[in-house]
Amino acid sequence: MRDVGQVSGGLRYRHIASRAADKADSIIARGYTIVELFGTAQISRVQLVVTVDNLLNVVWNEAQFATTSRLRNERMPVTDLNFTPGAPRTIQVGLDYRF
Amino acid sequence: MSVSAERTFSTSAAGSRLIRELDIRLRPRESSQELLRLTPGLLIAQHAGGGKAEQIFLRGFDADHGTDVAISVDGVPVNMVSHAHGQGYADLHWLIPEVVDYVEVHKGPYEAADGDLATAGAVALHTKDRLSQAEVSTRGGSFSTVHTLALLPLGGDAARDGGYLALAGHYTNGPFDSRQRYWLQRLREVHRSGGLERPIRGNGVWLRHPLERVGPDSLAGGGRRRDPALRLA
Repeated sequence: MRDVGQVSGGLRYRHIASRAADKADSIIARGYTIVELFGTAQISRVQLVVTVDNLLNVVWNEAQFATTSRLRNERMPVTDLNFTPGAPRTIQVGLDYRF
Repeated sequence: MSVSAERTFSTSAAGSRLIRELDIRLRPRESSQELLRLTPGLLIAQHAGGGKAEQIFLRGFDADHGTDVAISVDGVPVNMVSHAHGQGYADLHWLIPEVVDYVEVHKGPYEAADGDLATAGAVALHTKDRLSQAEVSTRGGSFSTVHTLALLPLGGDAARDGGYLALAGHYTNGPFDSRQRYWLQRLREVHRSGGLERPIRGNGVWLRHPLERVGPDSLAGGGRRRDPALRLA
């Protein structure tokens, strides 16, 4: 994190390794590395904030579980990794006013 | 004979850490669950579009919905010991993240004061007693996300006496094909009563509960993104 006068910013990352999703270690929950960029600029009483989550727009699994599913196209139950996909690149811009 | 020593912050064998307001302010604002991410080595995963307590990863524990992590706000336990989703279910979505002053983290089960649920660790959030300034804020961006906030000191000399009102509204459609239309409004009032040493807190008045809709995880194969190329069979 650097603080240059009225402007500040930084990079963060979060990482988790691939790991077993079941006891037998036959299904693997996929790890990920997500980079996050943020910056702020102070102009008088107003602060401008920009954040970019998942800067590199990687495809990642957020919550993941070994679960048995039986969808319409699955004639027999299928035990596999079921997961919620993580958000792609997410940009937020904001203004804070203090008085 | 008496022996005395200054008590250091870190009293446990594992890592303890204090996260201050500066770190908190520089985060994208979603919910107080996101504040947990400020802890080094702690990751969270949501699988109901924002309507449910996050899965927490800490010290090799996969603490589904915050079980195994003792979470408290101003000393009040957040974990629900007999929740159907998990014993120790800890949902922080009711808390407005901007009123958090600092976060205290103890990794490991070493602090007796953290109680039974601190198997992986404990996270204690402490809210502000007073505001030095009023603030209005709005943020927005991807996936129709809008986050608005008002922090208003109350009373004559709020900086000295304490007392403030915090209002927050959050709306997002989420990154999925099916719009999530997740929205949340929160109100929090903290006021200091004359003659009492401790502030009386009205904690987290809900104007409306977040809707726990049929989330993307109800689709085996992990739901769908906007980009069909990203779909995984």
